[in-house]
Amino acid sequence: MEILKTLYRGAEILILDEPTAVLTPSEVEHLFRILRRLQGEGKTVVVITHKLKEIKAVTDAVSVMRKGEIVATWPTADTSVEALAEAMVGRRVLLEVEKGPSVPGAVELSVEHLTLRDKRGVVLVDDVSFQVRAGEIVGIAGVAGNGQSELMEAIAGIRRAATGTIRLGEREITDLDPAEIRDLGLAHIPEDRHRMGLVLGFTAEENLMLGHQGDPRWASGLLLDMGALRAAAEADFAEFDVRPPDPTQRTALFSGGNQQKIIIAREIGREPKAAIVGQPTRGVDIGAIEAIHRRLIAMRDQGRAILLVSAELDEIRSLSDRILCMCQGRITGECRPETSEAEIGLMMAGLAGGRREEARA
Amino acid sequence: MSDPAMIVDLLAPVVGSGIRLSVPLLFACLAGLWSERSGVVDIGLEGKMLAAAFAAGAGAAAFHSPWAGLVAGIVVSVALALVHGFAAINQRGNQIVSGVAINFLAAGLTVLLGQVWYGQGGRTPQLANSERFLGLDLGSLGLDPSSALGRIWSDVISGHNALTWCAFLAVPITWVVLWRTRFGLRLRAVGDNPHAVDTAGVSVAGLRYRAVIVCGILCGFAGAYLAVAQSAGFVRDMTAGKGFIALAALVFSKWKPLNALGACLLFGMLDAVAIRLQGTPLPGLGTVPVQVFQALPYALTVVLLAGFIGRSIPPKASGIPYTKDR
Amino acid sequence: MSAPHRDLPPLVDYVVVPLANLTVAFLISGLVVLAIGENPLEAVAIMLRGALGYAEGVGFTLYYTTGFVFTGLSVAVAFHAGLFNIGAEGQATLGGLGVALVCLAFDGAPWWLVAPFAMAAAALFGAAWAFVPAWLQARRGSHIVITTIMFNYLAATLMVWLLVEVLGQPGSMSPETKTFEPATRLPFLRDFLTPWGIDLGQSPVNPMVFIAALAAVFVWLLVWRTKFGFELRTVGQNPVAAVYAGVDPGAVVVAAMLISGGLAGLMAVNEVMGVQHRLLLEFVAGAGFVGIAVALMGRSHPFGVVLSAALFGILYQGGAELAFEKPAISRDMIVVIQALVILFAGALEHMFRPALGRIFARVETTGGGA
Repeated sequence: MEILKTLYRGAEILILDEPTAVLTPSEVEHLFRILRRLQGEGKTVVVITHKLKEIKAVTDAVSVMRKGEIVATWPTADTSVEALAEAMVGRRVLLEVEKGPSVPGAVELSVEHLTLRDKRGVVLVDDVSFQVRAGEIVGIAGVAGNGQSELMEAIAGIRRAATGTIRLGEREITDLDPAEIRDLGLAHIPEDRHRMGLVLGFTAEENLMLGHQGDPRWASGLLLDMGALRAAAEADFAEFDVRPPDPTQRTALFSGGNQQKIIIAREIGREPKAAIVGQPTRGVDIGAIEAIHRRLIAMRDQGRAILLVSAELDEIRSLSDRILCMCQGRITGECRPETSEAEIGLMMAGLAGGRREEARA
Repeated sequence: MSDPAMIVDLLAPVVGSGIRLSVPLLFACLAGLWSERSGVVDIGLEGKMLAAAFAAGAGAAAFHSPWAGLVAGIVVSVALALVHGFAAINQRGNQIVSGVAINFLAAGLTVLLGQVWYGQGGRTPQLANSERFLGLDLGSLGLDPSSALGRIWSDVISGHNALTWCAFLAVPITWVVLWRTRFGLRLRAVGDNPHAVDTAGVSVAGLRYRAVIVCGILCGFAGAYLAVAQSAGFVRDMTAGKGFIALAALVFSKWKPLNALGACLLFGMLDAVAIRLQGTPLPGLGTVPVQVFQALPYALTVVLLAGFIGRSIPPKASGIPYTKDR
Repeated sequence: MSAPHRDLPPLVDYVVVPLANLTVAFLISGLVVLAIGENPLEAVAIMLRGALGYAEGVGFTLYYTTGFVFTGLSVAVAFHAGLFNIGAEGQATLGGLGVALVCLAFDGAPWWLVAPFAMAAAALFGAAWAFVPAWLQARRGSHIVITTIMFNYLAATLMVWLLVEVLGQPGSMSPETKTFEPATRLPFLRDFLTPWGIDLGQSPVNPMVFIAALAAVFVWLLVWRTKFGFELRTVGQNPVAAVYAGVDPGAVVVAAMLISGGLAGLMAVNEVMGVQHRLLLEFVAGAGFVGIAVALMGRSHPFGVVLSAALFGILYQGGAELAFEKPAISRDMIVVIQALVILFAGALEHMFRPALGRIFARVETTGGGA
């Protein structure tokens, strides 16, 4: 921070991208004081943020970007947080996904009073509780960076909980490691396939083994049974229509949609009890989006519990049976998928509070 | 042993020799500090120092001047530093691999060329005193040469050559430049967070190249010290791992110049003590194998790296090639 | 467009690019030879003849190759786990201690009885020397490059002390153990082959050459055909994905380094039990560092490691002959070539990729149009 201050000394225009993401509240106050002083000195400051309160707190004018385009520009004083939220979420036609009513069964995944902190003690997820039942898709709506990623990592066993419990079926999994949790029947489709979900230098069939490298189908002997893996990979490729249909190719050579299909084949092709699914269609072409959506619905109809995290509100609304909104690590509301975008947008911005009790139900 | 004069008699020469032995370490350690503070890991200090020693020996012999030797050493060392810079900065190659290559290149070429040019098994010609940096006698200051103070003056402080003074001067200069100038601040920032520096409109590659060149210059001094100050010419494998001890001292110093001075003096003293104690029994301990002292710099560095006596954490971006987001 | 990492066809990636790098390294070596006033082509001819032209030369080449295969595999296994093991030199040194202790303990026993124990001791001692740096890397984040360098020097000083003060022979000034009894020494292949009319002369190649071949097969199976190897490569290529896949990267780092150290240690059986028949200072003679060049050039693939170890075997044996015939080109020339190979096949490995990629793309489009 000190270094940055000096570096920017003398700059006329300062652009800050999510400057408060890793700061504590008191540091944020400090930063805002510096920014106001810079403004007083006649400098130009551009702040990129998804926290609407910060926009109101420090800016003079605001532009809203959506899908790479500026959709609105206002003087900050003339706008409300509600209007910003609406502009941010936008009004888009729901993608048509055929799905019948859900038939929720027993609770498969439950999270109680879960709190996560980073290394510096900053709270990332704050006392979150919810349940996902067999045969339903619960969507988590929220602007990226509000604790959804960390929540998923905690459920998958990659991140340790500060407090709270996580259960898969009857079994508490809070302190288990990712391999144990996967063995108990949790599938995990990570948000970032390049960073976490795949090893791009591996062949596709090797990636179909990632996390399942101990599966007795190919790992029963001293050496891996490459024939069995090849057969399984070819079956997966056919079933999930991965193109080109060559599982020996390097994974980096597949398109984003086909890479995602590889992950989905790996994760839900193994009949898990529950699945946590992050950004399943990010950077994926339309055709693959449809296929992936149909898969998730089919999985739900087979009685699996699915937790879906997506930055695409359309996707959340068209797939979910229930929607939880997350903002700054807290669940700020629960609603039906029919709820209007404006209302969901308000909840995503943390402005329709007081409905947390519903979220527990 | 209780007589202070005797203790001085015993210790003053060891301290003096420790200082002399720490000079090449100090140059090389500061060289590494410059490079790594900018984010370029350099395990090729040894090679640059060796090549510089050879060039200095050859240069001093050819032009009959120690200064020519120093210049030759610096030129060759900077050239190797630029090869490393090209691999690390432009080609985004593995910096460890590049350092290893430079060490081998220097080890092979010095002996090969030395043999071809001089035919003395890789040596450069024996230098006359006029071709070397000799000790500068600072006079006696009116002290009685046989008194304790006189001994300390003559054995520890006086009589060092110009390069020794350069080495000790390089410490405050490094500190001032890196910690008290805008250039230094940016250079350190580039080793910690190159993206921030790039965002501020300063060239990451430019800063790193400047750091790598300074690293080459300092290694040049280190090599010249070995060949034309400490000895009278180059002999094969003259550095004998000093580049790696300097690397250890760098870790030990936590990448800070004043600590580097302390670490290099400590390692130099250990070396001097080892030489002094060869075969001499210590009271209460018997004969301590000389290898114990030789191993101490390495062992201490490992212990420090393990974090048992304070943590030594390198600059965050060191060793990572910088790629602009596109 | 991050050109250096663009995907090229495997042929270009695995054959053309390394060959181009190697060619440049040799061309510059040729310039060095030219600079010292000798004819590079003549030098190449002498080297090839010396290394491959007659049975004894081939024997020596195989002997050098044996050691380089072990150290090359050692560095390669660590590379697959994303680790740079500069410590093969020290690990091989300790491996030699293990071999010597076993051979001295069973001195006089037949070699075929002692050899398995000697190999086990070599691997064990080498692995033990790799353990501390590995553990420090895995659990305390200490950079393994620095710690393995330190452990090389610690190994060297330990050996001096042991050979001077502990294992040295009373009354002898040279820092070495006593020579093993003839029965305990590994036999030379020349003794088996002479009756068949193959004269390996004085070449010291011994049965460890077969163990080296087995080790290469073992490493290939381990890395590409076992669950552990899969986890090892995952940790090396994407540690985040490894955690996601339920792998503990720390445990893999330690295991990989133990295997790496063990392979480096095995190199000592060839030298100590097979050739020198006693433990002496610096018997590793830089083979640990040659392993780095071998692994880089072999792209960490066991088959590539064997090929590049053979190349370095040829260089070392050919270089010895060359130094004999052309005293101006001393054996240090080999060190220079080695450095250039490391530089161009390692640090500058991407230098020619964009250009070769463009050339290949052009060839492909014109080829497609025809």
